[in-house]
Amino acid sequence: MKRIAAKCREIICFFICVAIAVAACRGDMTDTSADSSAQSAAEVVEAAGSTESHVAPAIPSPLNRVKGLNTSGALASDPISVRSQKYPVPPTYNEVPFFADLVAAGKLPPISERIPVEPFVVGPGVLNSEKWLDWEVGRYGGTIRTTNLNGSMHEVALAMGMTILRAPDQSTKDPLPAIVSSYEISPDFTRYTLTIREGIKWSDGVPVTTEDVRMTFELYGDERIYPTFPIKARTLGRADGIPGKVTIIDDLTFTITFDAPYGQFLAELSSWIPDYTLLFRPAHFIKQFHADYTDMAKIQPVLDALEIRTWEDLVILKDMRHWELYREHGVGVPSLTPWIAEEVNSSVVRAVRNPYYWKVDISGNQLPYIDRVEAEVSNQLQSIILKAAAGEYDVVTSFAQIREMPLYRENAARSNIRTVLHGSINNPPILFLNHDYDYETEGSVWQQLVSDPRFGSAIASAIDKEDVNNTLYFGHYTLDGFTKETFDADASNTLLDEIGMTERDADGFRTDPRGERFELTITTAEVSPDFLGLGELLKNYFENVGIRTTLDVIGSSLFGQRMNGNELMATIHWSDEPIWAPGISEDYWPGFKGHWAPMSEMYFNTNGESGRKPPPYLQEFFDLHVARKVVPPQSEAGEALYADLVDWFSQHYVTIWPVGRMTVPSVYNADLGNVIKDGYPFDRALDYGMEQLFFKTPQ
Amino acid sequence: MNRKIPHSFFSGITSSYLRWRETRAKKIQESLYYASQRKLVWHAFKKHKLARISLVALAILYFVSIFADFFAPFGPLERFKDFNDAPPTGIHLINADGKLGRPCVYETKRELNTDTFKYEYSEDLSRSHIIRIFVKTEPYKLLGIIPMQHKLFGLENRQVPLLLFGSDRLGRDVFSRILYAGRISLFIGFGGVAVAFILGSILGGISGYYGGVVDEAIQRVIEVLISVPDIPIWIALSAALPRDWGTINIYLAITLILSIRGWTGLARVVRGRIISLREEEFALAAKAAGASDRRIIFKHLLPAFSSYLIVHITLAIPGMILGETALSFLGLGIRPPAVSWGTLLQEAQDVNVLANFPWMLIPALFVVGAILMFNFVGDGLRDAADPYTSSR
Repeated sequence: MKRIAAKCREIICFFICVAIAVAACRGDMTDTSADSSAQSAAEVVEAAGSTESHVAPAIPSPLNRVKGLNTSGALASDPISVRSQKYPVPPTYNEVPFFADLVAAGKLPPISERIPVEPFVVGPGVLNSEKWLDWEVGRYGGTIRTTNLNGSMHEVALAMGMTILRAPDQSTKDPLPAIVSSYEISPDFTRYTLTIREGIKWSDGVPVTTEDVRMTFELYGDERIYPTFPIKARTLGRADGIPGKVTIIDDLTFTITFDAPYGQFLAELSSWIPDYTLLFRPAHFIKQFHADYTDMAKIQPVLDALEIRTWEDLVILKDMRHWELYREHGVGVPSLTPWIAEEVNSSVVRAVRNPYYWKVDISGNQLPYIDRVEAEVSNQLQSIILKAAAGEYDVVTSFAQIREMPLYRENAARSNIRTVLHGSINNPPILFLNHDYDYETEGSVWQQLVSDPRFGSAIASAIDKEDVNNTLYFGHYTLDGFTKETFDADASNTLLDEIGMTERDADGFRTDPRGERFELTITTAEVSPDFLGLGELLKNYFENVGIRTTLDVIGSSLFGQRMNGNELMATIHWSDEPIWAPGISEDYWPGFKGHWAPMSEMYFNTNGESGRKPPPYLQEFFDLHVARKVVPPQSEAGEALYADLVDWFSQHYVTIWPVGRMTVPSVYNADLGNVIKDGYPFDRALDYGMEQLFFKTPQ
Repeated sequence: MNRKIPHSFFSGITSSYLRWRETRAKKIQESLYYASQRKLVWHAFKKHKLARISLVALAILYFVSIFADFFAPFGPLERFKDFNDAPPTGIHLINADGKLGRPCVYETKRELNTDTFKYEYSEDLSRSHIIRIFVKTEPYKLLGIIPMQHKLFGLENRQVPLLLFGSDRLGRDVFSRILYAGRISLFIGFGGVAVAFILGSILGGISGYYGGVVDEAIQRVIEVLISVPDIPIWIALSAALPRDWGTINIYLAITLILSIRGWTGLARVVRGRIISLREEEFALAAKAAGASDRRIIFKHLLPAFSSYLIVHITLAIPGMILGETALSFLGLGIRPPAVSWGTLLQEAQDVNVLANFPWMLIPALFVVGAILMFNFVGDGLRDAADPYTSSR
């Protein structure tokens, strides 16, 4: 009790200081607001308490386990809109040669009128940390040739991801305001106040205002358009969370309020997964198709032309998430991205620079440096690899694998390519053990085995990590991962004996503890060429310790079906472990990539209406997960909670790690500047910030 | 200066040879008069050189595959941990001292060049291993029954890789895997053709002999089956196979799937032949003599075109082999870790293999070779099937 009181005092003191500082800055804040803030700070403790009782009354909330957690502590490292830029705004701007004619002809306003009053300034350490990129001022011009598989445009869309707040690389720690010019978070993480960068414009020249935000939330709440409110904008990012409320203060300032602490929202604002479209959709554009704003007589011709039945469907089509912008219907949709779709067909996607793009470099050049992006649609991964090696693309990431390194290195000089070896936001394929498999059978052997950590440990120590690494990945992956076991067949055998798998059947394999035939079935879809090789190696290792193993390779869609039906005992899949810590991805979730407890997840998502009531050890995971979302993921408390989560993973063997982290190549035109260095821990083109790439010699 | 050989010596040899040939031809001619049909076909077939060589080669291939346990130096799943993606091992006849000796291999070390990402191999000339015939290995059971502990060839130290065709991605001997794969790939043709043959000749026979409603029904079924393209129907059926079936079951099921369409063509031909033959005098005579339908079909009609059936079968087997290879290549047939030529090729379908590990494509040569040889044999049989035709 004393501690809580002390904490309250701490929080209150801190917040009063902050409030005074803010008031001093703004000059419009009164003492009463400081009082109410203090009050709300006091509520934090209660709010945290109520989360606890809401989730699992019997188990103490994991939040309590975090040493020294105080929400103000998390915020203390988080300056509230103290400074919005790393670099000063350059005094003059250089007109883009690509637009010079249009500007001269008066068809396009000059650069100073196109960019915001205070544009986002890119220099060393802004988009990428200085450790991984020796940033230099580039030069205008050129076309980037790249590719995409089956027209998904995933790579380019992500490369153009424009987050609302921006921290370098794949971090969400202390982000700088990007699309907004300042942000402010209440110490209890319930209220987010954002001010849009003044003068920032959509790619069609219309200013971005709070009306766009209001419209976005109106669409979210409109069941005709969004059957359910998007979960990332709900409290705690939960399906049953109360939707965030938007309050418009003026043309540029707005507030989003949640009914409980939701620190994870800071990460959502800085993450390329929801991106800027989380809060900003072009209202002026969507309204033309919305019957509440535009006369049906005007909408009808559009419907007829597109052969769409209802205006609702039209709004759904035109209201785009950022990854849809480079699809067929994305042409003409206003966006905030560096390049906008110009032509999309079945063989190529062409994008041209956004005249109103809101970033400049430190010497006053409007980004992007490169005028056009041309992405060829491929339907064969192998042809992408061949063309990359032949230097037919300027940027290829995420399709290249380390296995092709000999090919790229051999052709480097001839094709004028440079291969950079770096980490990835994905981790290598891991083995998921489904802890919900066969849970409905009374006395299920699988349930008995899988809930015993010794079984998981036996499996993990049967794997020769080094062999996997050398055989499949040139020894370039790391050997860590969430299961810490090193290869030790004896230890594995001992553990299996201990849990009662002592008898052997006619084929020499271990029987289950009841003495009946046991078979571990590992299912995988061939998502990537290394999945099958890994599967065969795993079979080899497990049979080496006497576990009969079947490897089942099926098609992706069948794989998905079976997974959703909770029919798979164990699966091989990859996920995004390297970006779990910053809260960008949470595909450790039991039903995301490889299922490890899909029915428990269903129980959680439906508040116990259907699915399986998780056994205590699985419940612990959900508690940790919920607790984690209360604070920003890379705050002190958030990091402590993540460490707990990792511990939980290591102790319960829902994921078994054959190797740790990946090393993958990206293939660049050797003439490109501002390319990331070898050893960079991630791989999305976003981190490179495609807008900062430039050609060193004129094309 | 040329040493002169007396003219008479040559002419003597030539003339006696010619005489010998003449008498031999006469003998054969005589034997032809009372030779059975089978004998005649065999005789004609032997004249087809390509077919004869192919037949022998096929026989060897089958024999080696059946006894792969003995012929293959390693098991299909046996791995050399540090020798994945390794090129064929160099076999040396001339040893380190520069003398001709028994074939040997040197122990190899390899290191990854982190710049080029290629493995660099260096042979340790001081440590050579002689390749031995009938080398002793761990005891195993040939065909799962006969206990043995020798393999045809290999090294005494089994930890040293002897990779005739290099190794695959996981460090397994490609040569051994090809031999084991032959067990599935070569025999799936037989299984499929056997089913197709039985179904085809019985249904075709019934359809042709009885005619009427039965004929109509069978012919319509055939038309429906023929109208569906091969690959989609195979894909659909093999996708329906339960995933928890073992390799053996899957193998049998794939055989059945492949033969589901295989019988239709044969049934049509049999029907056509029977329709024409049943009006022939010998068939009518048999009928008049009161022979049963079954007797007429199987004793009189079928033998009249059995030679054709044999040709048909020989030409159908390669189709089945290709079918299995195609299905496995697409990942729908036999699945790893079971090995068939199709799965071996499936593993080899990436750019890296073409560029850096071409030896993993060797299974393709076996597929092509086997198919070609079957076609030659079929060709020879077709020529031989009718021994009374003009040129023979």
